[in-house]
Amino acid sequence: MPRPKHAEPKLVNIEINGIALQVPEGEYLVDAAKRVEADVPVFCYHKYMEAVGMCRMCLVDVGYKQPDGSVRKMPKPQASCTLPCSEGMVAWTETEQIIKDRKAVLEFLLINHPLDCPICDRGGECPLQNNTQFYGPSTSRYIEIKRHLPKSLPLSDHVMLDLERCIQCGRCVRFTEEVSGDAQLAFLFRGAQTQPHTFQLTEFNSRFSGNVIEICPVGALTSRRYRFRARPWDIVTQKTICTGCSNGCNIYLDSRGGEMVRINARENPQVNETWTCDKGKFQPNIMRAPNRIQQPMIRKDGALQPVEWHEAYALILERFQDERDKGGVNAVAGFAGQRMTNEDLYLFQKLFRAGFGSNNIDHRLTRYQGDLNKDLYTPLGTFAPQNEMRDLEATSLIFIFGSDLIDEQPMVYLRARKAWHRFGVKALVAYPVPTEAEHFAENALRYQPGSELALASGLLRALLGLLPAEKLDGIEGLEKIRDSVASCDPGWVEAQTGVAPGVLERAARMIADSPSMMLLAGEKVWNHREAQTLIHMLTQITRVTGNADKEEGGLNLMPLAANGQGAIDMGALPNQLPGYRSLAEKASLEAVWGCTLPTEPGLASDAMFQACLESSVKCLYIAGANPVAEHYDPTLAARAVQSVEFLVVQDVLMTETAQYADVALPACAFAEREGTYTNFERRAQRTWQAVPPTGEAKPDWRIFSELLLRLTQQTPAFNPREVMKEVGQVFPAYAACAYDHLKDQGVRWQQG
Amino acid sequence: MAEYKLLTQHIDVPDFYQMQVYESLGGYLGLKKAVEMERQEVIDEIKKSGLRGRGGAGFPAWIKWNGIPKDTSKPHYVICNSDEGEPGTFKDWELMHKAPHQLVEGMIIAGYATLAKAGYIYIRGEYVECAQRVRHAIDQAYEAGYLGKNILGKGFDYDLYVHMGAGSYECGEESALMSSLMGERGQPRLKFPHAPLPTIAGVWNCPTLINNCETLSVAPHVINNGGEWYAQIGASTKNSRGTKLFSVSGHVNKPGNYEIEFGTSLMELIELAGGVSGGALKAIIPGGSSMPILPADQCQDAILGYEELMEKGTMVGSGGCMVLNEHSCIVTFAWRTAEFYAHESCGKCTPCREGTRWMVQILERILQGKGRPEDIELLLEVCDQIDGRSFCALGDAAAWPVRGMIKQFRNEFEYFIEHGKSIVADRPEWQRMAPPKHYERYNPMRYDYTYGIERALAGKG
Ligand SMILES: Cc1cc2nc3c(=O)[nH]c(=O)nc-3n(C[C@H](O)[C@H](O)[C@H](O)COP(=O)(O)O)c2cc1C
Ligand code: SF4
Ligand code: SF4
Ligand code: FES
Repeated sequence: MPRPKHAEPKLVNIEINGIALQVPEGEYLVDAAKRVEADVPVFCYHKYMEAVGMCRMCLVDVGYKQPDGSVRKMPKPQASCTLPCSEGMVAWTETEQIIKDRKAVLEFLLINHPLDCPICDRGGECPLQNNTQFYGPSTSRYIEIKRHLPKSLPLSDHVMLDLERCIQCGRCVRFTEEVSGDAQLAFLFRGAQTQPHTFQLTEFNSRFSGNVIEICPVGALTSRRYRFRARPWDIVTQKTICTGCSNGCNIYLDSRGGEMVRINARENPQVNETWTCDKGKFQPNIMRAPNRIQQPMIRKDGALQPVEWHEAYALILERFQDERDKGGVNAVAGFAGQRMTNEDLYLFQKLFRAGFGSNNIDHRLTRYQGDLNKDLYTPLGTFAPQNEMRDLEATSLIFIFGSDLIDEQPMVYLRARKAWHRFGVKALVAYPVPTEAEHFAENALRYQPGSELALASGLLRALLGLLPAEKLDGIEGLEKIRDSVASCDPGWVEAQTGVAPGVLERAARMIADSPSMMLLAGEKVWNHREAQTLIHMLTQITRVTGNADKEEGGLNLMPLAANGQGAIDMGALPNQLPGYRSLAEKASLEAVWGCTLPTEPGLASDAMFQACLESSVKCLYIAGANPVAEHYDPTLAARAVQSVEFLVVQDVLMTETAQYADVALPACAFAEREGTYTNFERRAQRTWQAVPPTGEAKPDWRIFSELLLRLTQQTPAFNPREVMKEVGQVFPAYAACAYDHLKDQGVRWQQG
Repeated sequence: MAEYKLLTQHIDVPDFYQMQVYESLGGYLGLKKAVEMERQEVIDEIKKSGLRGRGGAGFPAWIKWNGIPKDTSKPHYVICNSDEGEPGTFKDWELMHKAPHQLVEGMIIAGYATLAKAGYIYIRGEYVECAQRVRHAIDQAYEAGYLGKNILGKGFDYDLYVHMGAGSYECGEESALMSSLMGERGQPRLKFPHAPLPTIAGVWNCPTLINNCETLSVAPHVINNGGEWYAQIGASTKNSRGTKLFSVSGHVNKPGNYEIEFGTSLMELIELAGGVSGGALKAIIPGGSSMPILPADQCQDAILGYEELMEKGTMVGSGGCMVLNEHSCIVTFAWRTAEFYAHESCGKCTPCREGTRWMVQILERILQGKGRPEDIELLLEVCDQIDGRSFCALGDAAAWPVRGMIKQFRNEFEYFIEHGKSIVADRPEWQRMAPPKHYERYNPMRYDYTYGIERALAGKG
């Protein structure tokens, strides 16, 4: 059963160490004990995995109140990590016997544990060390020969295994079985020889392998990146978020002497629970990349030469204003990158709109470059993506359409898998080739590449036939929808997509029978040749199934890069102002900004690049993007940046695009600055500065701010906190996302 | 009171394992009677009989039978635990090998009473002939219409399967058995109150009845003759009814399975088995190696019965009665027992995984003449640290015998430690062999660890 989103837990009365309290029924005793600050040490228990009770560290004495008021104590101590609280339960966590039992378990764990804490990565942050300190025996009675096993066994390029340090808690094995689902780790042998290992001793190539390093309660699994590079007490830990994709995992970034040394997951139950993907955890240290742009540079005599910031600013403003005055506002254009923060994006579009008077601004690297308001939000009556992460557990069907989820949205993949594994949520996958998500999907539609539209139309037609009439009643324009897909019968769909009629029928029936559905649309939709029509079709599927206005259902076009959602929210679009306003609704913006704004829509990215080729756009400002490498049509982008008269590139690295720059500006990498990102579920989250900037790099927003200062008579905001405040003025939904409200876990902005 | 042949009455009749012979001697009458009864009546009959589990714990059988839900919103299963791993126990072997139809009939009755869809007979991996016999009996039962669809025209569908164990003592523990049956690692699962009872959520999360092979083999007799009739057998005891098979082994003249009525004295059982051989009696473990040992003087007035043996500080267990004569060295025996449990520990929980290995190491050191006086207390403490703290009862089973042996024969341990040799001068040859250098001879570390990984990583430059 899917987990209802707003269920009220039933409370039960229990007693821990003589303190009476109420807890939700079924909560594990170990968690309930935390409520009364009774500290119960654990090893195998992990909040986000199923409890197994194998290490026996968390034993407590338990009894149950009898009807006559007496307490019947259970004869043996019980593992509190697996014991669900029920009415009348009484527990004691600190009896003499329990203290002895804890000592005993620790003694057992230590008899075979090597004494290599001084050279162990975990030393200083090791649960075994800590528990021994608090609860353990001070000396060992063990004089026999310890178990000897391999000590540095590489499992993969990322993970090293030390079998002697392992305490067989099973967390790593359970992680790969339950959470990542690839079941790559297993216990070999039994009894005292039990040892975790990859199945058949193959490479541990899970996409989530890094997590086992963090959940291992000892130094048995260590990161080959971090091994021997630092000690817990000489690193500085900064909370922040990962900018690898639009999931926005909360992380801790550890640095030593200003150098990033590792990334660990930071718990956020709403987003990544306590996981990260390997792409994020083992991301290259961009701060120390050899090809960083170190200082502002101007192309002189065919080569980029270092200059002072003010020289670069002067040249940019001179050229941009000059060309604008000569060729009109359409002679200048800006391309915004999705690695930039909300503050950067907001100021970038402000620079173009208020500073240069041009709407020529876009951020899209995908083939879809239509008007999202018109194509998506108005028909749905909401701003997409509609759902948040935990809706995955509450919905009854997850329909993954055109997305290789594990690759594009790793955390959504994990949560969808959890929803299936724990709560029995069904999944349906449509993708041209087999993907990981198929492992848990009840049904998979494998179609000919490029035939997404035919498939969606066919599904819509089948759905119209299957859905009961009373459900379809009251859907606006139903006849028109029916007509538009009338010719898409199963035979035609098979011819177009290769999906057999029976398979299509089964999928349609699954959708029709599900009380709610979350549609996750991915890269194949964004880059479809007829993306606009396809999005329209998905919108209709969402509407006819009644998911457009359901809380636990809806259409989610998943952004493909870190702040793709923020770019839309901030109005880095040629035809849309911040806050999803159309260009006609510019008055309120003008009031805040104190200037008049252009009404003419600007050029979307393809048109922009085309205009560069045709020389109607003379000056192009690319900030934080690398279209030469990442645009869906890289040749177009490459030709455009080569032929445009004046190209400014502002980025962290000397990218393929930056090679062609006339002015190259160094930007700070994500960990060298602060800001906010909006993840795919509209959750604005903060990043914090963790390491000092490299060279003369500046945060993007500051560069835009300084340009704006030179261009307009007003003083722009001079820290991201203020920028966010201004965003809240022009887009009231973001007022809730002011820095004071974001705290550690971010805020999901609500559609007003 | 003496030998009482109920389950083993016809066991020596040639070809008793064949349907024809079995039926000619009253076989399947119980089943025929059962299907004429209401399902609840069958359970009530079991209740009246006072039958208790023969697998080790002696839990009243009817409570389990009655605990199975009375509706079939989920399929129900019956499992026969024939893993018989307990050292000294070999009664299930005989029951399956010589009277497989009796078991099959019991399984069908259990299935009928609990509305089951299918039954699994989980047979110890080494018992290949037994599996063949049981398989053969199942085939014959299908032919006779006792299994399959619409059994005896009563609209009851039921299938039986044989599943071979995968070679682990732990797989006899009921929840580990279910894991193993489902194709998982043979490790125990959470138990009540940490998880629902198996009668609610057992194998494949469905209601499951699990009983020992002997328990299920009793069912046809209870139904055929009535629960009250069965309850009269062994009525002299406090709460043990019926007969019990004891596998008598060790220093007796006629080792083998003996079926006795509860209330028979332990010494009578030994007499049945031909009396102690090779010398005077030293001690008996009445219920399989997991149970505490009884020294000779306490054996004299011991009565075989669940409560009666409990009062003596030991248990009926699975009925693996091991007899030791005066030439046996208890220290060596303790070491050998500890070694068994260390080898069979599944490794899931800390106390058993680490504690059993430690116990073996200490005992081994004592046998090598390097014992220290404090080792006895240490051993006892290690036992205390395992007992009641482990995940499943294997931990307890490892601690009890060693603790029992130290308690009863402390002088032998002290002597060995002090003199570096056994108090029993003329112990048999095998007991005099020096124990291995250290326990890690079981170490499967000869495995070439790095090979696979290196190969995997090599391709990546
Ligand atoms: C470590 C361990 C091993 C066991 N092995 C067996 C076994 O081999 N055969 C058996 O019938 N019961 C065995 N049991 C007992 C079972 O868990 C269970 O109690 C029994 O099958 C229930 O059947 P009964 O009620 O008919 O006795 C074992 C228990 C433990 C803890
Ligand atoms: S490697 Fe670590 S996480 Fe895995 S079982 Fe051993 S101690 Fe536990
Ligand atoms: S006591 Fe623990 S290690 Fe031993 S068999 Fe049971 S679960 Fe496995
Ligand atoms: S934390 Fe409870 S048994 Fe491991």
